[in-house]
Amino acid sequence: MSSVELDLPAQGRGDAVLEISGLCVDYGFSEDAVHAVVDATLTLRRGEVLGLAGESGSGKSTLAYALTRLLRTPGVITEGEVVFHGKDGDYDLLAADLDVMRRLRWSQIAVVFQSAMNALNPVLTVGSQLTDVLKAHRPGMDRRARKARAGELLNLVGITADRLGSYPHELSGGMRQRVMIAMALALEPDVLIMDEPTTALDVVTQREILEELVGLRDRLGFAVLFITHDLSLLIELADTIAVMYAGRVVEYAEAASLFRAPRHPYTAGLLNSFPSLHGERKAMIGIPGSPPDLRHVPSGCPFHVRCPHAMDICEQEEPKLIELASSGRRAAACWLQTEGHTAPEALALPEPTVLGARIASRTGAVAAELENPEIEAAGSAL
Amino acid sequence: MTDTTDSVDVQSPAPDAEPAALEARSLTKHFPVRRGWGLRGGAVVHAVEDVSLVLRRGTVTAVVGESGSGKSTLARMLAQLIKPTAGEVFLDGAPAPAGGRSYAKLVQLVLQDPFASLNPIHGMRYILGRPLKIHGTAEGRASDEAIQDLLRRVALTPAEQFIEKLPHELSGGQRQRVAIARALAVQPRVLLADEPVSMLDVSIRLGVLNLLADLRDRERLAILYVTHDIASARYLADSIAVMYAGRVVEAGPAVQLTDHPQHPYTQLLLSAAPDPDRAEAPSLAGAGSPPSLVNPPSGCRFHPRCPFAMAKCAEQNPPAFEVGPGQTSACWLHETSSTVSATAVEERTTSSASSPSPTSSEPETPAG
Repeated sequence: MSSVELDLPAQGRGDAVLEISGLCVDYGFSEDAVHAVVDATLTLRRGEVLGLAGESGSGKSTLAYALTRLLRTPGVITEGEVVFHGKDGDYDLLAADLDVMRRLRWSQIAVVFQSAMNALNPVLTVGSQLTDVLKAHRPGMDRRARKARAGELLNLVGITADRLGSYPHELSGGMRQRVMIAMALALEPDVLIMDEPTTALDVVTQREILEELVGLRDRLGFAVLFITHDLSLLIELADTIAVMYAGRVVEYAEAASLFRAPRHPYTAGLLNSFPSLHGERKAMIGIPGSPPDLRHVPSGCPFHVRCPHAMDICEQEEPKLIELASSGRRAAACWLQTEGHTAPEALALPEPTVLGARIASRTGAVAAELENPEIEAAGSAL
Repeated sequence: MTDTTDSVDVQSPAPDAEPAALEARSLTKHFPVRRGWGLRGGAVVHAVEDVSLVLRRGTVTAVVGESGSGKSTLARMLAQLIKPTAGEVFLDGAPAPAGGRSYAKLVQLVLQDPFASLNPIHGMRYILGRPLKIHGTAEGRASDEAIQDLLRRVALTPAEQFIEKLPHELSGGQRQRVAIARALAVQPRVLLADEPVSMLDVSIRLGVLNLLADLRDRERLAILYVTHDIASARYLADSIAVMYAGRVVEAGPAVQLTDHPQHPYTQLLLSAAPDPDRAEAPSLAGAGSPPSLVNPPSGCRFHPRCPFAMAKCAEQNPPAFEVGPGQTSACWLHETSSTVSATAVEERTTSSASSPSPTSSEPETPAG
């Protein structure tokens, strides 16, 4: 397998904290199995926001569930390796026994699930749900300390501590989502996996929460795997983006590069599916056809049936995700980007020289609070 | 329609102006709320308050707002699925007949979720044949030819194959096309589309939006496009009305409104929308969330969040002030500052509302 061996950029972003290589996930067994994730290779670095974009059925949520070993039957991990570089050593997440996983989950790898707004228990107060986490994972803490910490956590996400006594129904959707994020951060994890955390929220609330998230990331230095179908949002939020299609990672690049100079026709098509807020209105076409049925994935490159640049080889052989020599830290799985083929102009645009606007923390004082110089460097590089 | 000040008439009044295909005049809807046992104290949700809107033939009018802004309630009132508390609906310049089939023959509604709006046990022949039969456009059993014709109108080809299919055999986008075809079966003049693409995958949304644009141009339908996504409204619509907490706060030609938003809420909405083209990160002016509609704020409903709020804003609800050609903003800031907006207007080339490619200036971020 041609793995994506991506060198650390000079800006000094952290080392890898989570390395996924060759991960395959099936639903079901034998030849009827649906291959939901095929040969996925990704690296999440410390302090980085890695965006995972894809349409429904592209395998992005399955990937997240697989690496935390939360897959329900009939989901099975058939191949691959996931290495987590934790505070206290390295773990092979797919081989670790359940006790180890139980220790790691939440305390080092926390997940904010898709319907997080409804994940709170409606008959318990927010405070008791927050202290419950601490009771289970921090047995040394006494009641007062737990309560104080719970209040602190709420403050962290912009909610006053007097809301500890509130029931979930007394909070708005955005506040419930913030509580979920606070809860995920309760044990100071290294990795935060967020599966469509803001999909059900209004745009204003969504941006507020993302600003909050970026601020927390700058301050606490955790890495985020952010899963969403909204690529236009990711370009403003994420440092690097992986685009998935039919269970495969088809392109991986830094956000600005992906936006200004996509290398995979699917990425280009997706970018052409979001109408712009500026400039002249022009007809856009999106991507013809529909996302594939995973029970009958097309032969060769799964995108070839919808691809405007499809060639004969695309139908016969599946392209591997290869590092693109010209540009350093990016990769694409497309025959057009291999030797002996010339990519059309739209897929060979020059790398951008400037980064686009990013969602930033609203509080300017954040930089002063930084303790970790490495993270600070990463922050200023944004 | 110039008799009502806050009528959203964003078309330049052409001399041969035909009456609006569908018009809402001061529509208001209050839903009673249950508290404890039975109805007590007469508490109501002020879902839609005094909204006037004009839908013209051959145009798409978008209603943009967050959840709870009353945009779906408005669409349902226009479809006469719910009865307005006050206000009237006008069809072709005359008061609309009360509900029923004769109204449904002219005004059709397409719902958000194509997975729920098609009966899973019926095939396309039945789903599309029913409206043909009920509304008498087909005698007895609807002919396959008529049904295939409908499928072709929404670009589901080959129609001979699609007519045999069941809903589960279709993708989300194809289902939404069927839902649109079903609405078209009665040859309506007005199509009300309530968030027609928000449940669809990103890559196929544009296909459905382009279909709506096509129906506007080819069949001269008056289309209402209800959405929370202001970028898609800018793409598809000729004019946009922005709703907040049950009121229209700003309305105008689509590109002009998104390029030069005047109302603080529209500016907030635009700065919060995802936009990879931005040169710098926007700052959100007026963060927070919409108010409770049981006890809406006095005066302007946006004033508790508004960065420019004045004493007057808490006291009186602002009427719609003219802030540009065909553009109105319900904000006290524009009461006296007509000179300010006039300079803003001068900079714009007068863009005709219905033209699909307005000659707007270079991209710029909304003035905050």
